[in-house]
Amino acid sequence: MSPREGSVALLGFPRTGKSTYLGAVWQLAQDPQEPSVLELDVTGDRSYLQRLGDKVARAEELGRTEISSLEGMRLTLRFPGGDVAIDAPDLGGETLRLLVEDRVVHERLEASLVASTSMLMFLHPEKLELPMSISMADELLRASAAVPTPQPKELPKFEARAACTTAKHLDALENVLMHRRDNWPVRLGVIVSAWDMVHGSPTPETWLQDNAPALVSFLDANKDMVVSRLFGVSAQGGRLPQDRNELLARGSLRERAYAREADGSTVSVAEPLRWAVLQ
Amino acid sequence: MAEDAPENVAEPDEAPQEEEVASPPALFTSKAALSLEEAATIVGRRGATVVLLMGEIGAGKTTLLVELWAVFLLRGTIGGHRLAGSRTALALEERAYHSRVESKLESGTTRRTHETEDGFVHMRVQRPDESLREVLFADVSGEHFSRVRQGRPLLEELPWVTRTDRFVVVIDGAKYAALGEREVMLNAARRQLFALQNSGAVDQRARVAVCIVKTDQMSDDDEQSFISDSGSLLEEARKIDDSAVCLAIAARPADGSAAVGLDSFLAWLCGDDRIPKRAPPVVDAPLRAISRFRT
Repeated sequence: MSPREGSVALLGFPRTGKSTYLGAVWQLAQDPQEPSVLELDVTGDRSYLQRLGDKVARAEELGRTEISSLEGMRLTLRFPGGDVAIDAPDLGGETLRLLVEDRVVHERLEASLVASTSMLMFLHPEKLELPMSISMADELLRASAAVPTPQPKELPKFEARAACTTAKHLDALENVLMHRRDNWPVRLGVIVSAWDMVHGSPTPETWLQDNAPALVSFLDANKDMVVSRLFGVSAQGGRLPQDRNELLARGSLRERAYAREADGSTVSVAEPLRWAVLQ
Repeated sequence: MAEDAPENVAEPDEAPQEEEVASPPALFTSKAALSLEEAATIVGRRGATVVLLMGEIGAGKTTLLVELWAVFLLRGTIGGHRLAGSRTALALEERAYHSRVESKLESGTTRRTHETEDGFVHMRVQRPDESLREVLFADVSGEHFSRVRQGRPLLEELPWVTRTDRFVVVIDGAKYAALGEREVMLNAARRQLFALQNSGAVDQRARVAVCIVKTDQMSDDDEQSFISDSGSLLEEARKIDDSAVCLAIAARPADGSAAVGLDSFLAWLCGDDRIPKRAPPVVDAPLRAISRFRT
């Protein structure tokens, strides 16, 4: 029986963990002792995936993906529940930044959205700009009122990059979901990457509710547009570069990378991809 | 309206046009406030509730809007109403940004909306019964309402006003509390209500509210006075909408505490329309095509 086919658009602003996630899944798919995912076949050049996988295996930080990169994951994977031929281009985060901040739909983003059967959206917990209400700003102002600050002659102009993370994601989601409106509801996995950097011990669900409640309400309220599932993923298992030696001492990637369901229960790092393409 | 809204906002219900290879791919959101025509294309099949915040310069119209947005982002929910999206998230962020920056310069002030920046901003709100409302807030300069008070007919000043579903007459509570300003504030609000009465522009399904903002800057005595004064305002408002209400809001309390009254405001805003009692008046108004907002 031929495998199903799935095309996954990996969405996220720059350096939110998309390539690291691809590298981790690839690396796990090479590990014969990893039960959650197995590589069956690769179409075309595997050198890019191999480079990503090697870096993740060595617990090295990945650089920013070039917007012009045409690389990504094109291979057939066996998951518990079925085989899937996956096309997941490694879309540079710059494409989403261009969409939201510069109002340009890059042709690579457009092509990826048109082809996609599902999406994975990445949020990095340490790259979160929280909204601030005016009353909070006033409160801070009062707290520092003892130190007079010089008044600028001209008000600084607003630039979209100054918008809070939730507003940017709302803008991005409105756009990408409208591009796929013929295929509503779109399957969207939301991945909070670098889960090891999250403070305290929240579940992904409580973390997102605390840090981006409007994103939660968007996903809950628009079920005609989007079916979503939330994950926390630590594709490296810890902080780099400071924890590198400790991470490597733990053993293979299978023994240090981990993922959490929305309620905090443990799942395979490959589960978000499996959910996106298989259910 | 929104002269610098340059984006190719797409009509969601239209089939994609063929052979448009040279055209850039469509964006479905806007960085700037929307013109009326853009607002019509952006809302789509569900229909929209158009809200006009009425008040002269500095009355707190934009502050109310910005704090509603900010609290939604911070909490996700207000009184059981949830933010379900926005096609103008960045335009709202721009307004919020200016408010934050200016509050650092002069605590408690919001940048004035100038006429060249008039436009609509959009929020999709999920009501407690889980139904969705597309809400378009007309964020227009207070200069329009100053001219209305000076005698210019409302329909000449804002010709699209016939499409409004919720009229909110905004009164600055801080000015109401200030010596010598109270009567001016009340007269200004009364003039807005008279303008609405005389315009013939209010649809029979539309609702009217008198909304006093910045109530955190009013003393207990001021509040008691307003309860008394609001009676005559409500009387005028109920000549237009017999279910008109008076709402008290502290969107940005001076002591830094949580906003007060936004939940009641949203419940009123997203509540059902009035049921018309008779055939609506025929008004010669441009841009009537926007009635396709309604479902």
